[in-house]
Amino acid sequence: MVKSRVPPSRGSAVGSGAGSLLLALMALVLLGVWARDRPGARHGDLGAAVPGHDARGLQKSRDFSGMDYGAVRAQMIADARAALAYYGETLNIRRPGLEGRVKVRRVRLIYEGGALKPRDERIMREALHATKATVPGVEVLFR
Amino acid sequence: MKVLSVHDLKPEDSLLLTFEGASKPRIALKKRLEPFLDAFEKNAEGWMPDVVNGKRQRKYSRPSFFQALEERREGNHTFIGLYRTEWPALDGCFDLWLSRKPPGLEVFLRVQPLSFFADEQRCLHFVEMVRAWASHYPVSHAVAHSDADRVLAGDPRFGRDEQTYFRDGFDKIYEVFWLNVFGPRLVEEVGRERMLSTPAWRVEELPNGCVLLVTWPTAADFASEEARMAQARAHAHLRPDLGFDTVLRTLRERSATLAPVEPRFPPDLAPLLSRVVDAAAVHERQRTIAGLNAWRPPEPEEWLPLDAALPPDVADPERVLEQYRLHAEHLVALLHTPVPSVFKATPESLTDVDAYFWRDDFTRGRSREAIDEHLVPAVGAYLGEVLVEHLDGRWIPRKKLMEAQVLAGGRVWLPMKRAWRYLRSRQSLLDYSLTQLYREAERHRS
Repeated sequence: MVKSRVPPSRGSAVGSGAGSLLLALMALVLLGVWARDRPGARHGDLGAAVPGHDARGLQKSRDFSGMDYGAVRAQMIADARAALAYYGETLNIRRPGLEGRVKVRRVRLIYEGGALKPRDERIMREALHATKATVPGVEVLFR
Repeated sequence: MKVLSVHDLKPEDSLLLTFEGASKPRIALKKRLEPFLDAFEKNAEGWMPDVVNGKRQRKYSRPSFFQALEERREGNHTFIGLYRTEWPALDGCFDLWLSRKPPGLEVFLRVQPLSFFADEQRCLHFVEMVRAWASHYPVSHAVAHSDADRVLAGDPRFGRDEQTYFRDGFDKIYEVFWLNVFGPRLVEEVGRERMLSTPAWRVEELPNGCVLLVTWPTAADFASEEARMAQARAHAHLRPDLGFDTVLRTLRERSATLAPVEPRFPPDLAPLLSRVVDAAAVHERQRTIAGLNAWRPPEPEEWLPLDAALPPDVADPERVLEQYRLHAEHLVALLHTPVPSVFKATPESLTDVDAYFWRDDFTRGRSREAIDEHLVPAVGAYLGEVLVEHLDGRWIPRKKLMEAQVLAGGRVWLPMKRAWRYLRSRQSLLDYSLTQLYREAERHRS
């Protein structure tokens, strides 16, 4: 299945390996999709004025802190599947000079860290591991 | 049907079982999982899940177990959550991998507290359950042991990077825990005879070639000297390259790390520090308490004696005061969701703010300029407002924001300066907490 997307405004290499990955990631960042839906994080001027970390990939905010293992996993796997279904296919790049189809090889899903992370490391690690086993095309990280 | 989460209980160690097995293919699922559920229901008395969670939550029953599996199924994988509504808490997951050959079956069960398994009979039932499971579903590896001690042992990566661990799994005897089932590959690696001659409370070869090894009758007292000796003997036997003394020393160190430490916190800061302790992972809890017992914050220096107070130097004090209120309002806007008590602006709200910033490690990865320009005024003004409100204080407005003062209790406090020091790092959030400044000011109220 081919999905058309707005071409990224920058990007040098299209085609193989790192180039297409970079392009795909930039496309995701530039499209601004999967807006940060952290409750409370963007309220008022201050939230926007003191932004969090900068990282490339699909940004997602979920409050995992009070969740049990099963719930964390279910959420992570659902997010990873959705990310893959949405981006993990072929992008149709229409920018002049860069036209062509690029296969997205890897989708990166980056969760907000800090207080929203699963409270214990065991849950986080196991859930990341299980997600990797279930949805291999998606790399899940916590900031 | 409200599930009792492990997070609802006070932070304590738990018994964690991880089980990676395989089931027979080409048999109807219900038939295939019958021995699993039989052994579970027979042996998990007192901690059996009473809630299963697929896409929806249901009371546990065999039909609902299968219904949940069906409901959650995506392609060749399905998994469900297993919980309890009553103490002890259970955080469990059951996975089926239908595409693997043979189909994979994985169990993750965490029962909290671990002390629930001090009873020998209960532990015996637990062992019988795992034995039955491993007999029906040959495992590559299964372990049940204190969760905290497992983490300290480096489980599950045991010092390897994520990729290597993902590829190799538990491919050699990195550790021997309270209850272990070694799959045929591990048995072969060690040598069947050697494995079966391991000194342990129970060693048993299962019909499918797996070996069940239990070091000690009870799970809860894993850190006792006797249990550690038993654990070290078994481990050193299976890994002669390590040496008994080295293994035992490591285990004793882990026991020492987990040994309870009595908190001796400064009374002013005890409410904040106990929150810091509660936010620590269980395996780090005692170390955290010990670290905080040894720590003392510096005396607050963000104040001036009355006669050194800077006089007001603004043309329109009302406007400046309005500005301070607006800054404080910004902090409320930022934190009201994760810290609803900021609305109240009480001394306790300050502790909640301290605890939240600390837990979130809020200053990490944020630009220093943005923090200084926006967050420092917000936090400083909020602190000032609480001093004004609760200690009958009064702002002394200044042109320079950092010089803003609050007159309260015979001293002049500099909340902006405090906020600036406070927001340097995670450690400075504790060293220069809002809580401490407030309590100090409270003491000086004449």
